Amino acid sequence: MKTHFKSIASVALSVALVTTAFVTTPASAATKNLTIETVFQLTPPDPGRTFEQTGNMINHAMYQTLVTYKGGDASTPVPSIASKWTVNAGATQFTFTIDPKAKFSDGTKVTSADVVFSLNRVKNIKGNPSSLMAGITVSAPDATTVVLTTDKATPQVLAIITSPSLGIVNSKVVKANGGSDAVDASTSDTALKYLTSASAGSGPYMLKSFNLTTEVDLVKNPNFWGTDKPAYDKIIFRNVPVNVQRLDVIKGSSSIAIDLSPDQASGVGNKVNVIKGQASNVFFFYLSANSAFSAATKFTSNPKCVEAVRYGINYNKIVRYAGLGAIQAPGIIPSFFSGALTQKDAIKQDTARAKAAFDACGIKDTPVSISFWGSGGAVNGLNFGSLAALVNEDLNAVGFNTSLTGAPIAVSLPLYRDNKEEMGLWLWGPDWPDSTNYTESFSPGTKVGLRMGWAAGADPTISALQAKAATETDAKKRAALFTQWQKEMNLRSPLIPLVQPADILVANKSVLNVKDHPIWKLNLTELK
Amino acid sequence: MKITLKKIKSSKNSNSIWRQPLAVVGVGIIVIWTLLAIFAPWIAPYNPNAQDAAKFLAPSAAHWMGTDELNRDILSRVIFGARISLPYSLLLVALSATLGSIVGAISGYAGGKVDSFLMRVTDVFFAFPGIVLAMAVAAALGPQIRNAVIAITIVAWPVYARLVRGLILNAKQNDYVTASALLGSSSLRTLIVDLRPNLSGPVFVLAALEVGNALLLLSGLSFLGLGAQPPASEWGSMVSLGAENFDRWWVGLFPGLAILTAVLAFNFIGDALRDAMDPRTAKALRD
Repeated sequence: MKTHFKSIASVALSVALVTTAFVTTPASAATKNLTIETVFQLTPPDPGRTFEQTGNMINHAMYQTLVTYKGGDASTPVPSIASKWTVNAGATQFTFTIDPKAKFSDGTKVTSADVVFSLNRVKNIKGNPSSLMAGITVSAPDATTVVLTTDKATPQVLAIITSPSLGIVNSKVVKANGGSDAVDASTSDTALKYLTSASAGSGPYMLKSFNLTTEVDLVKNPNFWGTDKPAYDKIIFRNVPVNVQRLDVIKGSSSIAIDLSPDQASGVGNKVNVIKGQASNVFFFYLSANSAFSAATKFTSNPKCVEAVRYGINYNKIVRYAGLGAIQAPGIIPSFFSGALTQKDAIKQDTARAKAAFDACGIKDTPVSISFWGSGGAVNGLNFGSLAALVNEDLNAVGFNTSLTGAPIAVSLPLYRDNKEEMGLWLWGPDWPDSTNYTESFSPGTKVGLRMGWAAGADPTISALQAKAATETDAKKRAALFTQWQKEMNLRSPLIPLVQPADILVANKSVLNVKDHPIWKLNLTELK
Repeated sequence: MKITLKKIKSSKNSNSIWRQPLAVVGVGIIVIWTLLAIFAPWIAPYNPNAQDAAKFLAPSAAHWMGTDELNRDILSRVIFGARISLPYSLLLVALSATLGSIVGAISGYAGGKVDSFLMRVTDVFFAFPGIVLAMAVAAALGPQIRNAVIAITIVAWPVYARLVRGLILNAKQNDYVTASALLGSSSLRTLIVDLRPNLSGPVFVLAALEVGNALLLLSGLSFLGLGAQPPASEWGSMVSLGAENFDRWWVGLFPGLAILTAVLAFNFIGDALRDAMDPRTAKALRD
């Protein structure tokens, strides 16, 4: 009897299990998930505070901007929240009409008040992206019109407002959760906690969960108003080292690998698509121009020392290391932006000149450290430690007594931002797709200029070119100014552009419309 | 009388490490690595940091172990790597043995509140997984091989402290220690002159067994980017570069084999030394 009961029980259990499997299978099959693996460059996903690549990619899917770009293009703005716009002749007034269909994920309509709140909040909370709003005033004459005004010609405004950092938030929701756009928002705004747990945008995806170091999950916005409906129910971002990204995408346990180098992407097989492009990141080297910082910077601030480094580096070797598709960066502006220098303009290694400049510099055996993102830090598959080793070898050959001091990003980035490095190896990816991003960031007294210890007034010629380029509205004249600015930078700045790598995305063949973008890397909203 | 002496000598020699084949193999490997480290500039075919070859060359007659992503000869880097991995492993074992022995001796000899306090401190260190604590310390101090040695020393000393404390507690019950105190010896003299000879054997055996672990931990920290800095040809950081390039098997395999052989050799020697110098523990382990 006991045995009989056991048999019946086991059969019942088996039937139950099989039934459960059949019942649950259709549900899970109907769920369309996308897993993306990358090395996180991330801060909490408050658009007003996010300026990093992974954050831009995620925020672009959750928060729409007034205008945006399609596919991999970064030159022709297309409607997003604003259905149309006009620019006055002097490029000082930009008037946008909000699309009447635009609504947030909670179903409420997007109004001009939301736009004003969002942009003023970015300006006043004084996070990293607040510089985007420098010199821009925002107003709303009526519920569907927004006007951006600048006190001088600023033709790049349309490019600037495509930044995911200027994504439009639902002002009612954000205010209810501590948000503020007041002048004192840097201290009074407390919406970060809320925006780390939920999103308040109008994009095709919404935030499901956020972990700064492991995983970020997005789910589709059921109220999305646009024509391109979200193709995936859930998008999962995983923070994964590059070598694991490669293995996972090959075996199919992830859909897209973001950070592979050309070498790593070669030989991935034909089960995946390899999308190749030119990265918008430019790796650069600099010598601190802050003579007061250390015994070494007394010398690194000497133009002869900069010349020794500039002509001592073997750029060809760096390009070979970066792999197929990489090019030497002849200037800091990437190849596809207005006024970019050509390969003819690129600095060539000249060891004799470098050694003569080294002797004239007087640094001799003074130890000098090269700081960089160590502990395996890599972007576009290029390992900062390996790049630093390449530069180090060349500088030692010139005569420098260098040592490499890599550190995890949490340690090295603040040192760089606070001008606490003697020599540094970093990269710059554009905050907005226009060459003014570079003139406004690398000139004396600007953001990166100051990181390099290069104070305002250090080079009046370069600063004058920066000012002219910022207000020039004629496209040809602008391009000429950007070119001239870079040539002057290559003569006298502490900045030495190294390499513009190839950009590789490796994607499962089932994922369609994968395109590389200079600002948000991968356009999640267009993936099919 | 002569016959008796011979018997005693024979008994002592029965535990000699030279009678253990694995120990001989271990010593042989370490001797080879030591010679390679000492004479690296003459033995290595290329400068380990020279970036003159081509990228990712497979092993060939010109480059026996191939080249890495920066065009460097891997054989030369493996040979020069012995100059970092071996001495730093020995150094950190010496440091942790010394620190742990001092703490253990003070704890065991002083007893009472001092003993309780020092052993609770030791317990705190034991409470953390070794590699995690080492990573935290190395990250806090900054990634450098010197800081990695400090980090591992901080992780490794408690085991010596526990061992020495136990030995002292046992030894200080002996009559000769009491007699020494009655004769007016200071605590320091008693520790150094009377008790130290009883400690050195077990501590030495433990240290020998720990060299392999130390090398692994040091390589592990460098693998994670928290130890040796580029362009140093440290074995762990070389394996890390290999892990980024799975397709080029030679980039990670040869430095990995270097770690494997050195760790195995140190473990063989440690086991043999334990058999020779601490037969009671060895017998207990065998039984």
